Amino acid sequence: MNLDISAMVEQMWSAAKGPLGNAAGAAEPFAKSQFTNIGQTVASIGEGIVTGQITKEQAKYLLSIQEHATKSALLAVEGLGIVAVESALNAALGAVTSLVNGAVGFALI
Amino acid sequence: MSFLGRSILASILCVCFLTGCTVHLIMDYDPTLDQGITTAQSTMEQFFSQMDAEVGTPDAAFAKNQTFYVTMDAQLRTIATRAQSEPKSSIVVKQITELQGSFSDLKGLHQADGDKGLSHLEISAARSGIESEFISMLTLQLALKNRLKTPLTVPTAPTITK
Repeated sequence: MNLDISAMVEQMWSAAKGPLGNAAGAAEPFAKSQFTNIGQTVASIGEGIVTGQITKEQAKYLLSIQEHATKSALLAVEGLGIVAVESALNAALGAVTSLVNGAVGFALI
Repeated sequence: MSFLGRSILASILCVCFLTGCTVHLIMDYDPTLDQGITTAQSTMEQFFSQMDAEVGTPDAAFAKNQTFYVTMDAQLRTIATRAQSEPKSSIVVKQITELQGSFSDLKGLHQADGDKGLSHLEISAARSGIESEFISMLTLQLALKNRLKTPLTVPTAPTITK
């Protein structure tokens, strides 16, 4: 079965990274590794169908598992993005706190 | 943004600065939940290793492995309930729901194979997908855990010399 896994991974990553903005970089290595793994498994299921080792009914279950795995990876990417955004906001708040405390000379906030 | 909108936002930021609060967009790290996910993975891995060793034997039949399906179902329900009880946990809850979906597929596949049991190829493909899900879940748990180690404020103000 001819499946261009690299192209598939790039397509999946392009679709996933959009909403992440600047936080995309933090999630990229994880996401690409997961998408590659899922792509390779999908290819092996395809080969199993072609060689008759897997029936269509069995393939349906196995592909559904890969679909769940893909959704879970996308959810993790979303979560990693949120953690990154949260850290940036809190770092900014921390910097303001430091400036205010520095200006008044004691730990006001 | 309207004047009213700007006023509300400014008020929230003032309260935030005055109370020293931090922005919280996603659930807190819960070590019990993390442990529950690890335990569920261990149960799943043990099952896959056992099935892989028993391919083609009577012990691989679906009917002979009911205990695993009952135990795993209970473990997944337990972590799902735990996650649902946490605020801002929707992403983690959805990940557990996906894992429950994969577990249901695995059960359906095994049931369809009946007395024959799972083949090496089926075990390999199912295991790969489900392991991938555990990696996704544990990666997010690790990020939640590590954010606790990040200092959120700079505690020291410049020294005032008189």
